[in-house]
Amino acid sequence: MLGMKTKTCDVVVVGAGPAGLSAAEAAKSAGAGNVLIVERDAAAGGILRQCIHPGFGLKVFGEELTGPEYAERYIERAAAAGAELLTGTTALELRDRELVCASPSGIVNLRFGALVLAMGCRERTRANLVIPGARPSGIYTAGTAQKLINLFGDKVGREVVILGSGDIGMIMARRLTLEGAHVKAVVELLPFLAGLARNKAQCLDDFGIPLLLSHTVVDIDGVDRLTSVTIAPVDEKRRPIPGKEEKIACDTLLLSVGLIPENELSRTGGIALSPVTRGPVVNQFKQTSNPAVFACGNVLHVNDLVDHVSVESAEAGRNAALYAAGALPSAPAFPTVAGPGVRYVCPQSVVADGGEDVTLFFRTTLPGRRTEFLCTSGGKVLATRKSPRTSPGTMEQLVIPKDAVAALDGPVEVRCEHGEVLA
Amino acid sequence: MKKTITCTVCPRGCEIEAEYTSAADIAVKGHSCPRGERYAKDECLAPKRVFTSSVRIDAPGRRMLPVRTSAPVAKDMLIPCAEAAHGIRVEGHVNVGDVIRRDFLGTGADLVASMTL
Amino acid sequence: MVKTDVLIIGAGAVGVAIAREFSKFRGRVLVCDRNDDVGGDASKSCSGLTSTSATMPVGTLECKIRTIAHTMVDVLCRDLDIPIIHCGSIAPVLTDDQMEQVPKLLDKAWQNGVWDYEFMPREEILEMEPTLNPAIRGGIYSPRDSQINQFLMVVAEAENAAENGVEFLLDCEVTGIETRDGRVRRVITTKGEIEATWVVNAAGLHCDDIAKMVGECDFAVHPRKGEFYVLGHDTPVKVKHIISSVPTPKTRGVLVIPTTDDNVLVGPTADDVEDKTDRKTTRAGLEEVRTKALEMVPGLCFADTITQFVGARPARVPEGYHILVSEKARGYVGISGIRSTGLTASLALGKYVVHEMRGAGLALERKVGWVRTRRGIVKFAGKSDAEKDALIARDPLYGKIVCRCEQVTEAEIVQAIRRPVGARTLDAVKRRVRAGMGRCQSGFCGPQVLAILSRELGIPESDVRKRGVAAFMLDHPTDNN
Repeated sequence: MLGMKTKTCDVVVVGAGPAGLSAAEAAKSAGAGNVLIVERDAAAGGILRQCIHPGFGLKVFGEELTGPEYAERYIERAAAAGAELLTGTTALELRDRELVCASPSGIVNLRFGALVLAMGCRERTRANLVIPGARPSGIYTAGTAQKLINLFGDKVGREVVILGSGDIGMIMARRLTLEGAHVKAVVELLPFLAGLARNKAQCLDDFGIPLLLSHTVVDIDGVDRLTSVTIAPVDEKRRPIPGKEEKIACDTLLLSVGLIPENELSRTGGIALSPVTRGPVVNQFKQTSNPAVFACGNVLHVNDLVDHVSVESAEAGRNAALYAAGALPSAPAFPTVAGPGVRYVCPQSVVADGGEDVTLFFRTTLPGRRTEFLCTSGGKVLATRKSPRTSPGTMEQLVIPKDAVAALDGPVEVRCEHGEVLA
Repeated sequence: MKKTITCTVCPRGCEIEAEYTSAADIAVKGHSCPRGERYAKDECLAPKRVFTSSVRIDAPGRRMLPVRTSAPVAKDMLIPCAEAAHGIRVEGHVNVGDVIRRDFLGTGADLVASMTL
Repeated sequence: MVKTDVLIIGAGAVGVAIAREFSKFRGRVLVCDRNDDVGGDASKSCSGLTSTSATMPVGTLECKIRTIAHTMVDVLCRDLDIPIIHCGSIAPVLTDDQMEQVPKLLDKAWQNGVWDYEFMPREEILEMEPTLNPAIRGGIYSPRDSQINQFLMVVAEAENAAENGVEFLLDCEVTGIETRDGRVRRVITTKGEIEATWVVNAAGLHCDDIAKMVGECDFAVHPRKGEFYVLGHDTPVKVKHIISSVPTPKTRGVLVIPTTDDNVLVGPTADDVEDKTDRKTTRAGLEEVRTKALEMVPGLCFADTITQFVGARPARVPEGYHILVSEKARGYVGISGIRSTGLTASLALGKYVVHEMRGAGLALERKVGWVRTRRGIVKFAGKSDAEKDALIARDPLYGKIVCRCEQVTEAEIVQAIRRPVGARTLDAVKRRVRAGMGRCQSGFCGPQVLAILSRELGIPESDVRKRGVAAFMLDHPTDNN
């Protein structure tokens, strides 16, 4: 081990994207002595650096910023708070109280009082969907195409079909159109939009790009470069309807079919993961199954808005600092349960500590109108909220008041009742 | 004239119904905030969008500089703006907010850097 | 005009093994291939199984070559640093029909000299491989069946051949062969003309097209398509042995394979098709693989699929290994009928073909200083902290992780490109060092590998290919659609 470096920090944060920057700032502000952010890229900012479109920051800053602008504000805030940033450094392995990292200057072992996981997410691929057909070039995930165009200045293709109506896919439909490509269709398997309604309006409708709901790609052709995709409508069980196939000539297929929390590092540390969110199982402190390890942002569960990520991550950072100082409260914890109409609830448990209100984040299974959200425990209603419109693309929240948190004595259920289901 | 508008001001995406005869007479309903009301009225008369793109830059380790317009521009100017952005090359150090093109294509909005490089 | 003593057409397992055998002797040897990389079509996308001759047709040339070849595999892997796992195979017996086949299979294996191919009762098999369907009646255990990294095998042989003087012409398709006075004279390719004394046709799927050029084609070749799934490292149910269907004369059926890279490979189908370019997976084919695999290993988790692909084995009609040293077109050697058994067989085929050519008058003189061994690219992933630190100290690019899924560093990617017969496309990089082989399927590292290829090869990014002649990664100025 001669020559190998070791460093001890109160709080180590993995990832300098919006989650990590916010967590680091908050950890430092909460009194942590030294806070170190480990970032594999050459610069901080994470995925926001390639999200050059506007739409960020309305909740946190009260104005509409582009991704790079939003990132820059948090880079400054983290630096001003005194968090240290180590770029070009990849976290390889999480051990009990140690993080092994690699950079061109060697291996460094970071000993931590608390660790915050903020690695973000990755895109689902063609293989996750089982799209049969050829394997030509010209098939990209939407985020990869975004990186090639916005960061590399490359041109990816001319005649484009997009599978999946996720936000990145719709944003890329607009971006490609502005870059001179012809986006022929956005094809969505589900009978409803996967992303936000405003992105359909400003990215598809503005440019007359057709959205085909309840359709999917059933075949791909092209020996070298992609030459066409075949699409077909699907029945209510989402199976393609035979005889209704339509071939669309194109040289590019973008996939915007969902994001998956990037938890390979968490796995090396034996952190318990949720099979639904595919992120760590946490309590309201964002504390994982390893009490010294916290998680926030898209590594925890895929968020709709970066503003939510920043807020949630600040809590994770602050709690990590408290834990490192031995000051995080402990009390019995009770599980949260996704009731009817709810896909998941994050956090997965609530510690019955009455220090603060607890916000539960959740997503619905179906879109609807005149929806009521209810949070109950043992027959008692802890929180409730009404919403004129809701969709699985939007992350919903309910706040349990701190008195109710302190009085918890059983599981907490969240359910959703639509006045009208839109699917 | 009647129009259904999906508001893009915030992620909520309110569905706003607008009915109008002239600029002075626009009735909107379904919005949840004053910004939404203003947005819906603009959509009836002169839709506007913030334009964003990335332009070439000569900076160490970077090839592209993200840019935006300082204010929304007329929607039908988006494509001309994108075409003009292709020809832009920036040199040297840039701070976020630095003006790259003043009154970009006569839209009244400046094209500004959205990142410090 | 390029002049050579030997021109080998086809840089798959067979062509490269022949080239490496020739590299021991004086004389110029060229290998050309229409693909951008060595590994051919069938070799690079086969199951990577290297098995005994237990199920081979008794008394055939194929059986003879395969039997000899199997004894040579381990030495090759040791000399050339090729990953191999000696996991053995199990064919679970599930039905009465299969049970009836067992004595015949054991008898055939015995005749082929595979005396350790044996039937074992249910309990014993389940203890060895607890992931198997508990409803099995028993299983046939074949202890000397192994799993090799088939692509690295061809790359290792090619690199070693190149170090010993063999030249590789890739992206080079043969379009014609001129014969005069009963001899081959000149080979016309997309990269110019080559004057060759000997022309060895090891073109696999395309060997009938080449054979026609010298009028020595009394057979046809079509692709036998095989569809595969690859499951990720962290899939919960993994097999310890190669699990194969009870073999039929045509194919070994669907296999569930533990790969040398710790993935699970599941497949293939065996569908005869006409179009030689057809590499399309199909809903029906993938479903067939899934169903058959789940019958044997019910716990397999297909939700952990990282990719699906098609391998195309050359199917000869009429079938059987054929090595032709032509009388009609002297100097022409045609190799055909090398089907899915060819990966293992290639090792002995190299010897056999050179031996036959000597018999036909080729004089060979042993070279001085032939290099027997080659080392692979040192992997970063899986090393201890201290070993990783030492690698980075030697080459700081080992500290730049490019592919996060497989923990592949820039150092490995650069070596993959700079080595002899180096990678020139994204797929070639992927096959050598696994960048892009993980769960994100190059979503993250693709743009970086693209940039590294562009830098190392000195070409614009728009000219970087995924593979093949025209599968450009980005929009390419020559595309007209």
